Amino acid sequence: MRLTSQSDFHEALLDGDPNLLDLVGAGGVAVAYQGRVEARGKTPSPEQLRSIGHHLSERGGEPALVTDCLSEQHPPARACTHVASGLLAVPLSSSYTDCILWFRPEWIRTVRWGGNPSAPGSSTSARAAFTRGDPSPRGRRPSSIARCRGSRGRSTRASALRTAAASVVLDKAAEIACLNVRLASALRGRDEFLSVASHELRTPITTLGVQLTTIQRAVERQDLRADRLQRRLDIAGRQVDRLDHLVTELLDVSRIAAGRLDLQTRGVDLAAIARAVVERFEDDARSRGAKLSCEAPIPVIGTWDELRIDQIVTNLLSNALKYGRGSPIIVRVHGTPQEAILEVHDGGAGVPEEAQDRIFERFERMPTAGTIAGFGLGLWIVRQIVERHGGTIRLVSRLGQGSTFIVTLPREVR
Amino acid sequence: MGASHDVLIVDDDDDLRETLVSALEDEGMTVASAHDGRDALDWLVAGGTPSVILLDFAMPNLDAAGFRRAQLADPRLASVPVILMSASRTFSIEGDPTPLPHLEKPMRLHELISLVETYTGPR
Repeated sequence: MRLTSQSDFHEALLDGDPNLLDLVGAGGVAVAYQGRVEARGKTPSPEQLRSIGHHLSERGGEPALVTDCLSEQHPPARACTHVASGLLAVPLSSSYTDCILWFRPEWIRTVRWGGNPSAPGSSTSARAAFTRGDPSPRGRRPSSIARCRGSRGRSTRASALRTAAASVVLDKAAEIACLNVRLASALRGRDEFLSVASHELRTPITTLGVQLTTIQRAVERQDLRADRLQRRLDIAGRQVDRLDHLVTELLDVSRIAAGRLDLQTRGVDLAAIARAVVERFEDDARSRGAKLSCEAPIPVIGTWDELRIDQIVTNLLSNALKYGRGSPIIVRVHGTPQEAILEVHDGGAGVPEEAQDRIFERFERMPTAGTIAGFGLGLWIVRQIVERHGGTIRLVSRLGQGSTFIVTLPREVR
Repeated sequence: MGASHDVLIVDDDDDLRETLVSALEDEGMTVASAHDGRDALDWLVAGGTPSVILLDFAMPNLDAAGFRRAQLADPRLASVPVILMSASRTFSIEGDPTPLPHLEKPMRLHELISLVETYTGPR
């Protein structure tokens, strides 16, 4: 038997013959798997089941849990002792997020169920809980897979039940294998990033250190020619800006990774922000021989975080200058009643199609970046800020024909 | 082009290159500079003859490893001494016959000057 959906799984366990209720001889049983909870027999209400599930998940990864007085360790369960005084819980993975819960009412709390009944909440292995299979209070024979021998139909159905359980284990194993691959790749990415980060931080530190020593020596020699000194101070000041920028990027990444990117929203004009950023970059553009123009004649007002919106425009424009290779750069702002649109266009080398999704990922840079300074975090941060505002960012680019980054923001953060 | 210099500095970071050039010039050295391995090679092939080359490790177009391969393949350039600069503690170049003297960024100016002076002689 192959399981093709979640409901196959719940049904195979709960409605087959034999089923989980027969197997242990409980008053009720509930199966929680992949976010769906199904119950049969006499069980606590869905609300109470959630509360018990929450309690179990806090207990961590015990292999199985058996108690004859649930309310002693989980007082809210007092409300449902008529159906759930005894509990046998078996997790389906390393935690109780997916699990099977068997319940017995209070009047049979003296019946042994596996483990030591006088020790409420004692743990036992899943196998022990199954094989001890004590007599049920209603005088039924102990239920177990073994009992099914002799009846071919029942044996087939029992094996279906086992297949259902095994398929969960296989699913989980595949899930874990997949997570391991992603974890290994993330760790590799992080190691490469740390190496890039230390390289990026050391370059401005080297320049700053050597400049300060040079200034020191000039003072000692009393060589205080103003133009030379000014040039050195300019370079030193730029290194402080570079370090500040790199550290800010690192802080942003850690904030975003921790889910702490808080927005301070108020009514702001995207067109005004774009014009201000373009003005800030005019010297830079001139020194690169790039013609920089801004087409944002009409106010485009929305409720956004002004500093973060400035950061989006700044980052995209700085990239356009970096990768635009002196080509003309155009910043455009327009809008619809619902949305604001920002476009930053450069006529540079463009981004090959296969890299167009990748450049929005963490630690990725344009394939042509070579040793262009930066962590490779800028576009990832931009995307996070845009998405935090409920917007989208996309890239339209063809090799040799430049790139246009298009940001669409709803007028209000949803 | 083609003149004799004490030092050729090869680094792709504009500010660092300018800083190193002026620091060594302050010490009375004649200094030429190039922004990557390709640029440096062009300068050398055109007749530049430095006493020593200060070579950054990671650069676009032609990095330190590529530069060394081309340098060693040219009998006229092969013997020009090279000091490697790196920010990532990687100083070995695969296939290079001798380990190169190196400076780890961020290096101190006096370290840089004393290492360079072992090739140019004290000023």
